[in-house]
Amino acid sequence: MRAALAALVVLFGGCSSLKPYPSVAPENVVVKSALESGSILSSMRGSVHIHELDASCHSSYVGTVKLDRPSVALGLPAERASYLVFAFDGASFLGGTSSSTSAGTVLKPRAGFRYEFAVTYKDNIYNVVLRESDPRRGASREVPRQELRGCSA
Amino acid sequence: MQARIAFTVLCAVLAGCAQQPQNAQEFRQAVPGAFMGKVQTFEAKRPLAAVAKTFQARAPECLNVSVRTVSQSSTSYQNILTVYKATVVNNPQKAELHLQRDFKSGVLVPGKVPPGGLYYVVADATPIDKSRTRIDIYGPSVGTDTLVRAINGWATGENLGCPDMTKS
Repeated sequence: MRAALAALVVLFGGCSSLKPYPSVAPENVVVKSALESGSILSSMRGSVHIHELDASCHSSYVGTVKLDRPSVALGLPAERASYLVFAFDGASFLGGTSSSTSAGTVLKPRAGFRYEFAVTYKDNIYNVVLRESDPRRGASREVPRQELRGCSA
Repeated sequence: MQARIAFTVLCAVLAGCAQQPQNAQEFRQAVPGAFMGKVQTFEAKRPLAAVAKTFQARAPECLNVSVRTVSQSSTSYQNILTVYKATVVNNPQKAELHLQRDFKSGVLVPGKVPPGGLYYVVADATPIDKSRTRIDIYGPSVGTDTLVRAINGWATGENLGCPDMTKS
């Protein structure tokens, strides 16, 4: 019982350590999301946890952006590597079950470029697709997800 | 998910699988005759090389994940950590996707666990002709719907999304 209580304290303590990601100008990243839990008896919430990376690729948590709107804009420092973790948190109203899955990617925005994440969760399948565009040339390309393991900040 | 995990382990015990399959080939041989084992076959209208390329691109990214599932009620609390490991083996005649899962906490597994964890699903892609590929998926008959749909999506190229492994 004590172990369970301790685990709960850690669990909820961990949740409370989340903080809003600060406003950074310019807002060079847009996250467009469409999340469906697939059941009226469950909920699905999305969020992006943003970490900054140093030259050794050590991460430091900066803040979290909730994906509670279809489109959310945020600013990431240009020419500096950040690690973005897209989290999908599901909860069942029956049985008190919760679950979380996530997908992370390293992004080092180029100055003057814009980035758009298309984030979907439907029928228990999720996708995170990143596109980079150059507003000056009107060109865009899909950027593969880069795992933290292959980081070269 | 806890119920599925418990069910899977129970099935393994009841099926006399205390000797767990130690590699993909043993798993293929064990599934058809196993209690609640299932082999699903479908066709992808893409050449083997394209299917293999997608497996190689998507499986590690989507399936090398850790899943922590917490379940609580007024009388119980469960915290299960599962680590999945995907391996893709490609050759000109066949593409294989092996998915293993290792329960790091919360589950007792009978028998010897192979390196990387228990074999959970094995998908084989073999050519039907130059433009079509046959997919055979070996695994449990319950709890893998999402995973099988994802593999199907990769094989056909129609959906490259990742399965939510908390639902698998």
